[in-house]
This record gives sequence, structure tokens and C-alpha cells, in this order.
Amino acid sequence: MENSPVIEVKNAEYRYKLPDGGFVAALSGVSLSISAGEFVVICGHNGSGKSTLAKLMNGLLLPTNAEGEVLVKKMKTTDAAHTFDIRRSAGIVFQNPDNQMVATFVEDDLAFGPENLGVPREEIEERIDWALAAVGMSGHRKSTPFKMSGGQKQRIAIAAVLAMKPEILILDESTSMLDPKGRREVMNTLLNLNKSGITVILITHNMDEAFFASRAVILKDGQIKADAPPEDIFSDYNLLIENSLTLPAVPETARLLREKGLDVEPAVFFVEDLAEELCRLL
Amino acid sequence: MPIVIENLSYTYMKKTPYEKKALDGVTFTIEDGDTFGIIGATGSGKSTLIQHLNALIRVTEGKIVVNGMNLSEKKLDLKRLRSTVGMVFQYPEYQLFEETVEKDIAFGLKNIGVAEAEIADRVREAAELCGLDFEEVKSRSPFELSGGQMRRAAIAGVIAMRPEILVFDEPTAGLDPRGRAELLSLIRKLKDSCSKTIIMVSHNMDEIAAMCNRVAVLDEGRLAACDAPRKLFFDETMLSSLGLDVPTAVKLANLLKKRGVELRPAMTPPAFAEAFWEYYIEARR
Repeated sequence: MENSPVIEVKNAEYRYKLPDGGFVAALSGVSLSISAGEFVVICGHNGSGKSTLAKLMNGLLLPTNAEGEVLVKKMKTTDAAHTFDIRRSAGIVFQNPDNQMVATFVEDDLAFGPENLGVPREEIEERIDWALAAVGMSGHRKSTPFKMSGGQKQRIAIAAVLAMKPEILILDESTSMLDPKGRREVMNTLLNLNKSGITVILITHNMDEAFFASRAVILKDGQIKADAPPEDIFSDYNLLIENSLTLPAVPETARLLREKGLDVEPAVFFVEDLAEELCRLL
Repeated sequence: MPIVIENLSYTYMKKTPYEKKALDGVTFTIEDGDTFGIIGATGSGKSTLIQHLNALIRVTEGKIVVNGMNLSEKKLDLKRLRSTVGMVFQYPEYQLFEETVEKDIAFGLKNIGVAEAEIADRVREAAELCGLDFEEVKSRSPFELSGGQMRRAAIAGVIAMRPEILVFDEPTAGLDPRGRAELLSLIRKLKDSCSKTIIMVSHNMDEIAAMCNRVAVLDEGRLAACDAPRKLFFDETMLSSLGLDVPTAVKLANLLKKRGVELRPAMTPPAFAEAFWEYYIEARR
């Protein structure tokens, strides 16, 4: 089961209609297969098509070309009979938590999804406790999201999707509003969820987050430009520059030192490792 | 005239079970010409503090004086205050609402009763200052613009009011690295051309280090520190204890220091690379 694909995007194109009657292609010729249990980061600058790809992955958008198709656990997203099962399998958390809140109190917000799925009340209670613990917000069951800071709200939004117990969690720039501490907490949450078997697809322009993934996909102008382990991506500075991405501070520092002629490992992610390298040079 | 904040406290939903103290005895001063950073973890009170500055939240405990206006006064001239303090919220593009970009930017000016002819000039000036091609975008719906243009249009609406003090809440949130660099250079440009004082809230320490001459650090509603970034950002223990990121260059330097390698202080990767190179050459001699 481990390696069977849970999401398959085949030769997909997506064109948005412009008000003047023309079209703009947000994605073209995209093929991608994601296996159960993977942690994939999809990176690209604004306008690269990454959010469109996220929406194709649970059928919120459908490919606009006849040849293109997207399968979620072998179910075609174009097949309306599967829409319900697809959305239950693949949950999306968006960028702005305010647009995802439906209730006045946290526990009602988290209950909304499972109630609609017909989950028994007792199990809903358990799921709420579990989901809040998973995002580090256990004390906030009776709080109201509207008085929370952006980061806290986003963790509630993630918990609300978790309460549906999806097998695949898609995060569309969901960490961009969090502070460093909140971001680390969410990243740890995602790593733990991934360890417990959930497939995680994280869409981001923050290259730091790719450290933790097993695979990084780079999108530009609606096409996949690279699909490789993060250490390969980070050693290829030109690839990042060509795709309007920047190196995180640690590999960037390593690169600057290499430019000066020092023999520093290019794919160094963590500050402790770089410090080690530098001491070795002296 | 400076912004003086004295012993400011604020409690949300007082005398209810949801009572929460968001600010607790905060005192500091923002001088004319400052690019002033406000940092702190989520929930530390940053947004509550800046909403006080143009009286979106009225002062309940303590005192704020902005350009000589005492914000505790009952008959406070809100029109004058809000023309003085321009507020750019997080994701300002969500506040666009008019039919055309031109009308959206003009909305604030109409509200304060500026003459039509002057409105047209100020709208154009603000749009161009924010890097929009005014002729190209003025008749379009703001919702047809790209994300970056939408944010610029929303900022132009604030700039058109010609505020002396500009407040940005997380101005680069959600932007990619290129968009972030463009927005920061816009803020620098605005400081040079129209607003003399900039206040910015940010989570990004590298941004604060690059932009601000002074920084206030909030922690659970209290002022933990207020100083120049170069005085604060080398204190790894303090930053970590407040849930804030330490600039990578500082972390690296501190790790090396523990092993007896003491470099010249550096807050950014290029400065660190330079400092390490100097040390390396010296050690080789």
C-alpha cells in the first residue's frame, strides 16, 4: 500500500478565462504522481500555478483539456459520483483562515465537517480533542476564533480539516501568515501527521519548508521545472534563480562562502552543520 | 512631533468570561523620522497596539499622544487623526471594494470632503508612487488586478490621504521573495517622498534588521525591549525566550563563538560571509 499513488495528475492543463474573452494558461502539460505517505513540497513564485494545482488535486477545479485527468485514489475528479469521496480523502487548508471559519466557537467550527459526514456525536467529540491537540491548541475548545491572532486562527483551520480525518492533507500557503514559532509548530504537526501515515502536500514559496519534505517540486509559468529530493534542489543555485526562488539563509550563507573560494558543502540545511563545516576549515 | 505611548493597557471583553488582557503597561516613544519595527510572537499584542494609533481601539487605560493629539480625549478629532496616521492592514487587498481602481483609491479623500479636482491629482500621484500604471489600471475593477497590483492599489488608497505616519501590519505577508523585496523598496520610497515616520509590524527579523532604526519587542502584552536592531538581535537567549527567530547569521556566529571562533558582528548572510572570510584570512597568516 505504501507506494501506491494516491494522487495522479496526468497531462493536465488549466486555463482561466479573461474578462476580455481571452484565456490565460495557469497550468499546462503537468504530470505528477504522489504516493501514499509522501511529504511533498510544491514551490513556485506568485503566479506559477501552484494554487491552481492544489485545487486540481481535490477536484475544486477540473482540467480544461480533454486529455488531462486527475485521479485521487484512482477516482477521476471529473466523475461527479466520486466528488464526495474525493473531498473526504483530500482536505485542503487555504492561505487565509478567515475565509475558512464557519462557526462562532472553535468546537463548533471543528464539528462542522464531521457532522456533515454523519460522524456520531461521541466520535466528533474525540476528533475535536485530537485535532486541537495535533495543532497545539488544546486549551481553546470554547474560545472564539474571531478574537484570535492570525497564526492561532490558521491552526484552528488546519484542525478543522483534520477533524474530517483525511488521508491526504493539502496546504495551500497555509503557513505564510504564521510567525516563526507558529510555523515551526505547524511544520512539526505536519511531520507528525505524515509519520502517522497521512500524505502531506505543502504548497509554499518559503524554501525553508522544503527541508522537511522527502521531495520538492518546482513550478514556474504553469510547468514543472524540477522534481527531486530537496538536497538536490538546494545544491542547484541556478535552478532556483531561474525559477525566481531564493535560497534559505543557511544554504545561502554556504553559497556566499563557496563564492569566496571556501570548500563548503553546498547542500547544507542546518545551522549546526554549517558551523561544523566552518570549524573544520579553520 | 513624536508618538508617545505611556503605560498603555487594554483588556478585551472586560467583565465577561472571555476577558483577556492584550496590553499591559506599555511605554515607549516613536520619534519623527523613525522607521520603527514592532515585533513579537502571535498573540503578543502587536495588532491591538497599532489599532490604538488611529483610534480604531480607543484608549481605555494609559495615554497616547500622536502629533500633539491626546487620544484619550472624548471629543478627539478622528478625521484629523486618521488623516495623520495611515493604516495599512495585513492583506490590505481584501479591503478593496469599489467598481474601479480610481474610485477605490479616491474613497478616503471623498469621505473627508476633498475637492474633486484635487482628488483626481492626489489619486494619480498615489497610484504612481505605488508603482501602478495609472492610465492602464484606473478604469479597471480592482479585482481584475494581479495579487501584487491589488496590494499596491490598496496601499495607494492610504497614501492618497498623505498621512504623516504610515503604519504597516505585516506588509509582506503572503508575498514571494521577489514581491517581498519590491514591497520593502516601496516602503523606503514612501518614507523618502511622503510619510516621515514608518511603523511596521513584522515576523521577519531579517526584514526588520534591514529596514528599521528602532524596534519594540512585545511579549504577552508587555514591552520586553525597545532598542536599535543591532543591540537586540545579537541576544539569542532573549529572542528565543520570546518565541522569535534569531537571524541565521547570529545563530551561526554564536555557535562558532562557543568553539572559540569570535567574528565581527553580522546580521545578514552576506555580512556573515564577509566576517568569516576576514577571520579565515587572518587565521591563515
